[in-house]
Amino acid sequence: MSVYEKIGGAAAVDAAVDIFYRKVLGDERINEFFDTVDMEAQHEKQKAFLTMAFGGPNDYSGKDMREAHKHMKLTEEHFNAVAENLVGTLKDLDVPQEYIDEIVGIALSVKDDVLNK
Amino acid sequence: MTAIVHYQDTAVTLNDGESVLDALLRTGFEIPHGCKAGSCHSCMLQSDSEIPTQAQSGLKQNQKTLGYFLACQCKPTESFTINNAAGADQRVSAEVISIDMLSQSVVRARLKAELSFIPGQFINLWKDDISCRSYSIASLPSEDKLLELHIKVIEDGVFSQWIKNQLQAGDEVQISGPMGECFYSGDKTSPLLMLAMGTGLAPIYGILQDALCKGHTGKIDVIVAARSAANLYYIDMLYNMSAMRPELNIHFIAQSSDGRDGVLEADVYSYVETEFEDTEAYRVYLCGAQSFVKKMKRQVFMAGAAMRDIHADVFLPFAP
Repeated sequence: MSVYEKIGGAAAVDAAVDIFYRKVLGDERINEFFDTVDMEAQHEKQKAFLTMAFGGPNDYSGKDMREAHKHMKLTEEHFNAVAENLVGTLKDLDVPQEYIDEIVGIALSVKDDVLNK
Repeated sequence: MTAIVHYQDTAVTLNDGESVLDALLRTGFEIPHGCKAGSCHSCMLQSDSEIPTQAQSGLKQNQKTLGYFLACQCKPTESFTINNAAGADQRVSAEVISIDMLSQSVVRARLKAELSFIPGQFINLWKDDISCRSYSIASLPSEDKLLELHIKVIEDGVFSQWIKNQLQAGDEVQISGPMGECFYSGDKTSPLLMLAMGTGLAPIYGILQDALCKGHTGKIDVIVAARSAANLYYIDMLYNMSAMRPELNIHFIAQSSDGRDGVLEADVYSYVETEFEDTEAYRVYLCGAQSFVKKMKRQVFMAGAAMRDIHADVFLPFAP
């Protein structure tokens, strides 16, 4: 059973996405990347990201990750800020620590692609 | 490769970044169009070629399946053939019932037409065969088939000047639609926060009447804002409505007041931030210019409103 299924699948993503999106929009370190005119489209992107990070069914590939982020000049600090907000979101939702660790593991697995290393 | 658009036995080569609509207009075809931003759907055409996703954004599933697309949003990268599709945008006749001023900058047009709609949706009003603008419906569906529109008067605005100075009671005009998904729906007990900037009051007034008509029991706060108090309208009418409905609270806000009763001089963003610190339980309706909707949407979302509970209608300026 994947961690996605263990924490409740699509319903868990729905519960997490508003909290997560609010956190990144409120985070001065990274909100310039999230503060776009079309909030619905941005909200959808966050849903897709969370689905991937939770180990759910997704269309992300390493190549897509690299392509989507390569012009943003992202640093370690940006990546860590997103990871912190992800952990904060899961804690707000009382997700058990062992699942949080598993989700952070999935997020870390795309780090090199996101940072274009 | 360069995209070539085939339309009525003519082949048009797309310029870099050009839309199908702009290319056809440039070539001299009279293609109906309005907002050029993917909202009014008046430039909808039909094709059996592969259609870029963006060109079908906002269309209904059956329209997508039938190959309808928005010419203003369509920038194909390969050869693209357009069929002669009639009836993509069905027009109906409307009779002008009255034209009058609501404030120094807003004209009200009342039309009579056979049209099913939900208050808060918008229609396209056609000035001739090829040009239209979108206006929100401020009235409830009724037996007398009246549609009420509020039009912001723009000094050199082709449409607003035509409506204000030339349209008269008894004239016949063409309309099409309705469109739009910003309307009253959902449970009847949640508190509602309705925010209108300028003629954003038109859809908000429609949505408000619909909510009251459908027996909404939760608290309703309506905030109407304008830069100058002289642009506000329906002040007495909305306060009179709230006097009869204890659950309804009305707030009129202007950046600069002219001292009239019932209008608070304030910045609408600070006002909403102070008065509605926690919007978590609210269903929110936002109507007005893009800058207002964007800023306010972010604000009420950050204050706790769920994304699915924020409904917005953005008024786009005409981009020639």
